[in-house]
Amino acid sequence: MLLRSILFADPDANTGADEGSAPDFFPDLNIDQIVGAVIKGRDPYRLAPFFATPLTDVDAVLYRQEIFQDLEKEQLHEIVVKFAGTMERMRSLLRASAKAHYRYENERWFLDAVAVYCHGVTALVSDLAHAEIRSRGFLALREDLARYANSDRFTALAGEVRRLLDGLAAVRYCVLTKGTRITVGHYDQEADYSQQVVTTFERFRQGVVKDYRTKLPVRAGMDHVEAGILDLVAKLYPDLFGALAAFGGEHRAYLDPGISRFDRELQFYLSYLDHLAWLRGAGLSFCYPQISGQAKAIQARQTFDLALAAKLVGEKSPVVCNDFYLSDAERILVVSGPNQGGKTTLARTFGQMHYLASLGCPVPGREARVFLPDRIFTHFEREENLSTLAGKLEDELLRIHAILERATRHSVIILNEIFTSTTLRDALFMSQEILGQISELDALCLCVTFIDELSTLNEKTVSMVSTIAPDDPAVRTYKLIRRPADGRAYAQAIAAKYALTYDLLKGRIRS
Amino acid sequence: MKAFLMYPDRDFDPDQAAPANARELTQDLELDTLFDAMSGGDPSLRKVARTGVLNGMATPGEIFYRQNTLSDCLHQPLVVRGLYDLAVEAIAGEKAIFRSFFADHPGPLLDRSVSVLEMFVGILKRLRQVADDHADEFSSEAFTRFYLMLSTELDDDYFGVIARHLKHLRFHDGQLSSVRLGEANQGIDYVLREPHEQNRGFFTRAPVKKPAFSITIPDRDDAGFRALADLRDRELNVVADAAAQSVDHVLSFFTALRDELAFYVACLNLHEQLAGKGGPECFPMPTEAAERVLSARGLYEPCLSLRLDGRTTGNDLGADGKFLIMITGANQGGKTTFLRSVGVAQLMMQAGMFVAAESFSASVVRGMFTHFKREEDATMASGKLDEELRRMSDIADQISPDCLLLCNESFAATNEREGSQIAREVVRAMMDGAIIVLFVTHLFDLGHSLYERPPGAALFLRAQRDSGGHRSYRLTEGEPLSTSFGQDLYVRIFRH
Repeated sequence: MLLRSILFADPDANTGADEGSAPDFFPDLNIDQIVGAVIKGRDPYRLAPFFATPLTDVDAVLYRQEIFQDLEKEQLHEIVVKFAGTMERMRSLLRASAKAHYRYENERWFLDAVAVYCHGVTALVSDLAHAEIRSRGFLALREDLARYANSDRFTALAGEVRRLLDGLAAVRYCVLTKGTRITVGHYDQEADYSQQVVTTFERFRQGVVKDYRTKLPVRAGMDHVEAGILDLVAKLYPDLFGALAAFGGEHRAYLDPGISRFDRELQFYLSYLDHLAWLRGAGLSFCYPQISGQAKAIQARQTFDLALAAKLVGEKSPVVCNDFYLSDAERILVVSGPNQGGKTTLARTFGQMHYLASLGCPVPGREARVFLPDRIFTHFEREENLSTLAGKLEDELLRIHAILERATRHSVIILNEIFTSTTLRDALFMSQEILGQISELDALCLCVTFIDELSTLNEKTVSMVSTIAPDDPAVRTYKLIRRPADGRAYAQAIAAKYALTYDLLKGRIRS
Repeated sequence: MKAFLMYPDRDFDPDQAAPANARELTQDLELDTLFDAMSGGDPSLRKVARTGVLNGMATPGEIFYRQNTLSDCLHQPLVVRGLYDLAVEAIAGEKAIFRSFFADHPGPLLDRSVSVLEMFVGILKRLRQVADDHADEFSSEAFTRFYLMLSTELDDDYFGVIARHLKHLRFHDGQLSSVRLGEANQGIDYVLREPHEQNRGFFTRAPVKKPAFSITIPDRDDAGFRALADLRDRELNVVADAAAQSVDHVLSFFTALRDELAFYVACLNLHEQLAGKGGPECFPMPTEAAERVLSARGLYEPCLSLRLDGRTTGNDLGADGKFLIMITGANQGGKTTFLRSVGVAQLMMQAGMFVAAESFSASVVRGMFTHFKREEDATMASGKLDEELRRMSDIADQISPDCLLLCNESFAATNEREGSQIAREVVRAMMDGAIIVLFVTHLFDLGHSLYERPPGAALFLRAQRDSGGHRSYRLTEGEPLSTSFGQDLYVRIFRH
């Protein structure tokens, strides 16, 4: 009996999703930071491969979006979080069982784990029966789960657990120690002596006295004396303990693989939504993007860099949102303008938007329309490294060449500050050649550059510029707008900010 | 006993703080390659090499002192490595001698200290032997003084005295103490005593004044044995402390010796690797800062040479009296490598080392600073220009006249016109502040404008290419040209 996947609409489409390793562009777009923050503390679920495997089918994306939207409803969210907690408790009991030295200790931990499992499944089925569900994924899952909970296999398991737990709850026995001798027997309604002692001396009580009780340390496991006593108790109840032993032997494979997978896949959604909840608390918006596999008229309103936002919110700093769009023949956003103006951030925002959308996730912003790419390519400047022994420019050209070899008209290409290590004339020539090729390819592209001329290269290019505060040229607004490139980066103003103009610097050089 | 092999008048501290910009220098000049070569795979050599290279000397006099010492080492590498090995053996030997769990108890502490001292004495004798055998093969002031010190301080009489004490401290004949009575008649003020010779009768078991009485702790009386050990500890407290302090003293001598020799062994390691490549080496000629000398013949970058299979190309430089050296020209023309070669040579010179050149002479500088283009800050705190400006501002906080500033493609993060504008003002201010600036740039506007109107004595170098478009990796004097020849690279990669 297998439950249907909540990650993949098409059961055959999920092959390979377990092995996915982070795409090359993760560090450039800071998606590694986003994923790191999202899956932090959830290592046992091995979520990284899910976040490293983008979808290329529009319906597959919608399948996840529906599930996300269901899970944004408080009722369903609470239900599944409770279930996830139950499964976690189950695993910790299994770990305790594996660590236990003595057989009856081990078997009892195991029984408790199975009991928690049965209870969790039963509760999930009954909770889901009343939940408001719209997504195809959860509707199918609810059906599958109900069928599993009613199966003979599951009901038999649950019944056996119940009988054993009742039996163990009814056990009572006595231990007698004399010298080095310990004796164990059935409990026989002996009176509470300690209470008699307390009662007897109660009258002498004067006020608060020192507490002589020792704080018992947390026990790491059973000691051998206790284990020996337990062996004696087992002799008092041979049938019950025989059944307990047999249970452990017969039900090692009690855990349904479908339930187990559901528990893991669920964390894909819960981890991401948790991350969002935190950022929403800081006033940021997220939305479900319209996805198209054809139309390249993309749009985003009030969007932002998710990695940077997490950092800023952590520091209680404001997050600046930006808009961008492409219409008709437009394919290439050429971003220029003052430095420190958020150009690289916009490049990352653009890439993250496409990638997160292709995971089926809600994206930063109030509204978004996104093209579903086959691949994303990034080219960010790299530090010069002597071991390559190749010049920086050659390295850059080789990398860009490699991108253009592989890119298709369905690809998204992000170029951040290309050809900064050569002359303006060289850079202009090569950038024009490369944007020309991307134009011919008809791929979507964002290009951060200091070369204004690129923004008016052809009908596919659109200019966006970073802006400054009008009253103080050294203050950056981090706002980028669609506007012709004006070629003034106000670098001089920022040099003054660092006291590096001639007069200021001269005064700083100490004798 | 001071080794004084690094400085004429002071100890070398391998743990001294590197200059504030050590991290930048190391990264920009690829010094890790140099340190690795000097270490020969030994982390402790690497540490000393790093400290020695980064904390250069300020005067030509100190530099000559070390050059002469190093020259001795290059002539007698086996003797010097032998001395180093002795110091290492002493330090390792001390570590290897078991430190009991009860090492804070005087008895075990004393036993251990005596064992360590016995081992040390053996090595000190071998050290003296080296001085006896080889002193006349060395001529530097440092080694002459060092060997003389060994033979006067470690003479045979001294070894005899040590041997007698170490033997006595084993107490094979029992230990004798004077004791006073303190509170509740408990023993206090235990002082260990040496027995009188007249009390050491041939047939007497206890060397004390007669008459004497005895008790015996029976076998199996564990509590009794514990009490006896306590007594012994009280008696030995003072002497154990003294012995342990002696261990520390001798150990610190060996440690200092090892650290100072380590620098020279590291230089030998480097020499052997560079010599294996056939590259020239020379002892540079340091001059006073005010003389503004900077000239070289066949200067090459040792770190690059160490990484390459073949030999690297050397460059000549004649920049005496110049405050600015502008380097422009072809990409992959060896500009960055040249910049590094000057920086590394200056550092090695001030560390008293040989340099990778046929000849090199330079004025000492008060400090060296590098401003190299960097990869975008992964923490997203700021854009690239901001980061560059901040680093230059950090340099401005530390730099002073008579320093050397190496800029590699600085301020290229913004567009050419504005990058040039910022760079021009920085260069001008630095030069006027008596700072020597080496600047690699492809900013044509910057190079060209400084060439037209140099703010002071300046030299312009250009990376070369021959008529076939091949880079020669040689720099020649020449004014900046308006292209970096990127177009043919593009054609080769995209239209092959």
